[in-house]
Amino acid sequence: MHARLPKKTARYRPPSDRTSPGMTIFLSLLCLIFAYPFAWMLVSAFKTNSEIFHPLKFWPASLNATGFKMLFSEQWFPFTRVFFNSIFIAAAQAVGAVGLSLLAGYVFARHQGRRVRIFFVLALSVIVMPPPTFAVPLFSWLHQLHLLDRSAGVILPGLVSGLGVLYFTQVFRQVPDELIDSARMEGASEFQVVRLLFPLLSSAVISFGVIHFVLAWHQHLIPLLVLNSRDQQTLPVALAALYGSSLRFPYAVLMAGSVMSILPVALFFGLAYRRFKSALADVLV
Amino acid sequence: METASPAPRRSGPSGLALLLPFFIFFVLFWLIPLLGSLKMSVYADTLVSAPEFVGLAHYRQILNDPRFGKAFFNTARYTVAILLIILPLALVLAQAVRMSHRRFRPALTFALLLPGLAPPAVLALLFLLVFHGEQGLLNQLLIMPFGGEPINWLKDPHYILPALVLQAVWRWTGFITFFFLAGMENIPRSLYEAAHLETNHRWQVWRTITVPHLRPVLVFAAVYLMVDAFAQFSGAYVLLGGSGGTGDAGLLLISYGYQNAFTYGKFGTAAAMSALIAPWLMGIFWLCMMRTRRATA
Amino acid sequence: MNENSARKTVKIAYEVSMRKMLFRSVVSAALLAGFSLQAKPLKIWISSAQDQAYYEEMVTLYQKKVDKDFTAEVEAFGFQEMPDKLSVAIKTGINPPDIVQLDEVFFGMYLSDVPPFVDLTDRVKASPLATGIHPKRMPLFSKGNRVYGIPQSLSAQVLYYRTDLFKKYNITPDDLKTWDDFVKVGERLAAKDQAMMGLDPTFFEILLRQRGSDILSPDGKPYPDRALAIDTLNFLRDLQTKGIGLRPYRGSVFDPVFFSSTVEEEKVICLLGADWYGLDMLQQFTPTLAGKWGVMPLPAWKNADGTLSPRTSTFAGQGMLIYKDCPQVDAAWKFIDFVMTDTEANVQRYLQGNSFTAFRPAWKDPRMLEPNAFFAHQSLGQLLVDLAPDVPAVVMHAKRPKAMFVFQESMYSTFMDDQMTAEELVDQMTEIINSP
Repeated sequence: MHARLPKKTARYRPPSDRTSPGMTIFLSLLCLIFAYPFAWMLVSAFKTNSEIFHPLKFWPASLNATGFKMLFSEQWFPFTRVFFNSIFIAAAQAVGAVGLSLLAGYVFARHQGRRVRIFFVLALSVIVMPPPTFAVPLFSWLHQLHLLDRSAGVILPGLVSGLGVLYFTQVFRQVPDELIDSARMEGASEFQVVRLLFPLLSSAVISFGVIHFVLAWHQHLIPLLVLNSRDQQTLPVALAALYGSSLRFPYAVLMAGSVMSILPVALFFGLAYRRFKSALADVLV
Repeated sequence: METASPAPRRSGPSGLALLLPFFIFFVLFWLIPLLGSLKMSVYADTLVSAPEFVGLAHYRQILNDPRFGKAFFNTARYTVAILLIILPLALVLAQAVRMSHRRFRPALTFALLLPGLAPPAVLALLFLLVFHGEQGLLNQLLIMPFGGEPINWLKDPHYILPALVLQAVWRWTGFITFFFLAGMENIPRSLYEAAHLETNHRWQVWRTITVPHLRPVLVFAAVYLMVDAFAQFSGAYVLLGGSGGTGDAGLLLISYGYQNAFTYGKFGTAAAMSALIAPWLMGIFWLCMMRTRRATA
Repeated sequence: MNENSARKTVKIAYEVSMRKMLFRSVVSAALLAGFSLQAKPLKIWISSAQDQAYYEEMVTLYQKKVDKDFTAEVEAFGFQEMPDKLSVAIKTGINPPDIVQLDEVFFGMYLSDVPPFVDLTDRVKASPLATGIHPKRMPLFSKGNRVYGIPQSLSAQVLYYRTDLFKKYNITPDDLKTWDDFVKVGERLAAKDQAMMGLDPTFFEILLRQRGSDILSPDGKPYPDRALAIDTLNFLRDLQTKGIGLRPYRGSVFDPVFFSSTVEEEKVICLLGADWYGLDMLQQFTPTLAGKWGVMPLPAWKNADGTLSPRTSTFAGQGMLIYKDCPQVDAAWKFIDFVMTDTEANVQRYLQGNSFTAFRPAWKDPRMLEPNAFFAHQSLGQLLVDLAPDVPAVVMHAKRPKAMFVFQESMYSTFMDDQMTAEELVDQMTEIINSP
């Protein structure tokens, strides 16, 4: 499992080593387009409302720090607390969804039988009916469970991920059979087999974790309905509360809040990328 | 590489036990509320007085509603368009990332993710500026300099759906590229070595090794995009604020469902709509996956 | 025998003590409930954070002036978000607010059933609101003769115009006494490639109302005066065709980018809107044009009999309502009554929130009538007071949200793009409105 290949052979250079400066330039240009929203968001955090709504004016006339000031002064909502809520809720959902989907994915990939197939279909039907489609009954049900106005009320429904099951089923299908068979033959229980395979899956785990984290971070309807008190809300919901029908309120605050909201994902990604790269070596047979 | 393997383990107790955690939450937080929604779909839309049982009335009404048909048709076209554009584009980009200079790769990958990370509320404002008529950035920077007439993306019924497709491409291509990159990293080097012994053509290697191995990821990416098209509200909201635009040209199923639920207060009808769409989607997914299963067998 | 009787005694003693405990706990629970009922703060739901600031101030003011033990929690959730949360709370009956400030657009859907709000008719009768609130505004939150909400704003429509550009083109407000005059002046300007006014889908019902009709009749029939509706639609489209009216890129004059493009480039020289339009949007998005905007009444229509229509109209507005199952209706009503009748409260709503109150006695406060520097030192308040007697009523019906929404979102543009005739539009809209 941990055998390493000899370093570059004389003739063959694997695709990832063949770099092309032309490609780098092309890609960088493309990424400027992709990165534009973030740059615009960052710059707009320093603009007045009329400047923000001027498409061709990218730079503000002067650096107006009101956006960040209003945000951090917490005069409209407890920013630190709300920010932390968002991170906690999204991270908990990411971790939990990965865990549940991983275990289920293993069974669906490595077990046969009609019962397994039925469960597989059931798990995947979650994809076509995500929680926002039954927001109202969910709201009533969470009320009965005393989960309203609590983080758990948003986290727990978010742990059921049909996409996750699909993802991990395929991941486990690609694991070489020999590994699993040898582990099983040594008498390992299914759970132990999964634990054994876990290091192999780090990049998959992280990739899906990031995806689910981002999806959870952007949730709007469920947190809006479930969470009430100011100190329980998530960031997108708290920011939405600032804006009414009149366009008086400085949108710089929304921009500042959104810039802040990208940071945890940036950090998460930074850490993940390293893990990603070190996991590579382990994957190769 | 699929070598001959002993028969997979029959589902013994310890195997199915691993399904328990998922299915506990499945029942508690998905199935029960879903049944509540199905119940709501067969009762009247009243908000205050106790609703009466109406059976399949909502379903019949929806099927006769021309706007529902329009929404369905729009969503289907929208989905096909984003699949046909994003999937190949992301494949190319993933390959491009792998061919770019090592040092730049983390930054490039991150930049690709950024559009997907932006909060919908901010994107709503940004796209207002990008897709606006004459003053919009898309017109000013990419169309008018080349002599084109400015397009009123948000109002011209011929361009509303293309605008929706464009914003989806912008938002999700990076994410899908990310999936493909992860998938590509998992392809064992030994395969490339073996292939390299037979041919020096990068394109051939790509076609025979890379793409087939990415098929499961492709399916996953396709499912992810389909879910976004059918069930994610943020796309439609970001561009049109939940409405359908001129002549309902941009009306998507999810926006129509939202309108029914929250603009008109017809929760039962909205529930029926979701229940109607779900089996269709399931069918499409099943088809996708059956094809994969057969291909990799 | 001894054992049995001992057991019986124990049993009886046990039951007696249980009953005592039950009694005690019931009494203390009742006391607690009663106590907590007194101490429980009112929950007030608002759309935006700035309104929240205003209502928190009002709570403080109320505590000072009326009841120092009054407490309330004011919560804002966002323009679309608050009504969404409200409808779910009403549908499920879970965690509803006590008082809600709702925009008329979101109230309409509750008219199809018994409105889930307290019937305030009798309370209003016993309050200065009965005579104080502009009579044409009162029906905004009513169903039949029953009042369910108190409208807050007058929402009189006026014409904002560029004083500098009017001078440049030799126009004075007196030249625009009727819409016919407006068209005449407009044609003159159009010959020089200058449009007069921005167009918006809401103008259809605003103008229709100015002419004495509406998009629905009180019993829900679409376009009660079909001919007038068709004529008004054609009027709007003609303005566009003749180059007098300009349709903004996004179709709406409420688009912030409209200001940074069309208005800034002086492509239009006047705009139709309510008080908050001038005070909120113009000030926010054309700050450099301070002092260059003036206000005037709308041009009038010439009626068939030669008389002139009123020179204003109205559209929408917000109101305060009490949820039907609110446990403290009296306390909630007293607060609403205060906010709507207290002069200071009304003045602050104008100064902070740019909303001119519908409560007429408050108009006497000089601060309501002060000249606005932004409007070349004209008094917007005075103009609104002058126009107030002519403000028409909005016909409220459960079908109104659908009628407005479908028209604004899709039909209007199709019509203005010459893709359908006014008759076709009216017929199609009628069908859609009449469908369940």
